Amino acid sequence: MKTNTKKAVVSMVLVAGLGIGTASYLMRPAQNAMQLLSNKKSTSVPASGSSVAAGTAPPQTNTRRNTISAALATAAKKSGNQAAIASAKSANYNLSDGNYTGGREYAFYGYVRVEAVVQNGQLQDVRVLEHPNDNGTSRYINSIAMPYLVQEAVQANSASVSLISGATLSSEAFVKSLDSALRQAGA
Amino acid sequence: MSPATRNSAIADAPLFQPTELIMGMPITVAIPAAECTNPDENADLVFALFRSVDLQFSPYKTESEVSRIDRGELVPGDVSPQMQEVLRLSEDTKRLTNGFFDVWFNGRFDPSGLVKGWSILKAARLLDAQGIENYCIDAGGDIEIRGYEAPETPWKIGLRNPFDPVTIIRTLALTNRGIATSGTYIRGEHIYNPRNGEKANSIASITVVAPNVYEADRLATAAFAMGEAGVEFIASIPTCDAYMVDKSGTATYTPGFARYIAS
Repeated sequence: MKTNTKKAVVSMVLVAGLGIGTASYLMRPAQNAMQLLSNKKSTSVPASGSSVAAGTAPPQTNTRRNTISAALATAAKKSGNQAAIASAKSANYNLSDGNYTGGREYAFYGYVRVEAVVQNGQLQDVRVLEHPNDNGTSRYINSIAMPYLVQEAVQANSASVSLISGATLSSEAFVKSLDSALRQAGA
Repeated sequence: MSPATRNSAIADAPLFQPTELIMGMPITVAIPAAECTNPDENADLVFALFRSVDLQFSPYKTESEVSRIDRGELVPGDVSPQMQEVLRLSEDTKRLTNGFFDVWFNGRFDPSGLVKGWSILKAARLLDAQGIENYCIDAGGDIEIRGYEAPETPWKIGLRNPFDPVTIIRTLALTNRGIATSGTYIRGEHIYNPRNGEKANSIASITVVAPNVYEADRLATAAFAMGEAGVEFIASIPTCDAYMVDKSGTATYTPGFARYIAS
């Protein structure tokens, strides 16, 4: 794997004391800027999608239903909801054109509901109409100024890992809702 | 057996890594094959705990304790010991986040922003009690990481690319830490969140690494809601670090986060 030119930049967001008594507590030990600049190796990988296994729909409609659900669930479990969508898009379900709203599916944090957009018999788009929020509100708090933060451009990384940390829609609820939308479309 | 041989043998051994869908999310228990002879039983302990947490704490199950508190059927003095603990931790978190994190919002009671990390940590304590020293418990991308994947080999944890969730953007080497990511679904691949019409947040995701997953989860939740100020907020907490990705594709992280980056 080739190592790209360093893309990391160090953003020295040095903010003078804001008159808050806790400023010294907030200050972390300054790190050597050269250290921050080093070790920013980013590896390039092929564009997304190459790792997504395309699902295929069998011709028989009576068994097709379960197979589609299973294909969506398998793809979602393996690589997330995007893989489920890629699977559904690449499969030849011969759908009826239109927009279909999926079921409202329970997830612990709330409900998930998606809309499937079908054009020319193919799934073109999946829109998330509802998803659980992170209990967040849009209330704003005053920024607590910090002296040093490091910045870099986000790049894909090809290393193998055991587990992945990330925010995802609930896969199970997502797949159920997408599945019910596709069912309305004639899948 | 020389240490090198032993390391090599264990590193090549498969990881026991069952997944079940509970609470609407995939729950994975990862235990190195060399760790114990009954990984199934230990994983089942974890899954059973999550099922009971779902029944008790789901705000969407009408008979859950959370729903009963929300309807005013239970007052704080009448709740279960587990709920008392959650209520106490909620108050603590509210203080820590300057009132930003609050399980009471618009008159509704919803502690789920805290319960996920709390329940992962409780599950971890179950494995600790079984003498399991090396394991990960992953609930929907929030992970408690204990010990090592193989001798002297920290667990390798990927950070999901918020713009393309089938890829990762960083690999971390972690041991005895909790990690949690809070974020919103991004337009990539034509998925979008229509609520973003309000453009309330320029953050795609923020990942917090903390001494345990309970800390990481509650802080990631609060930090995400803070927007771009969130990474600074995490930087102000000595034991925690964060990696924030904004919607332009720029990552900003606390200096201490660099020590976790493997690639």
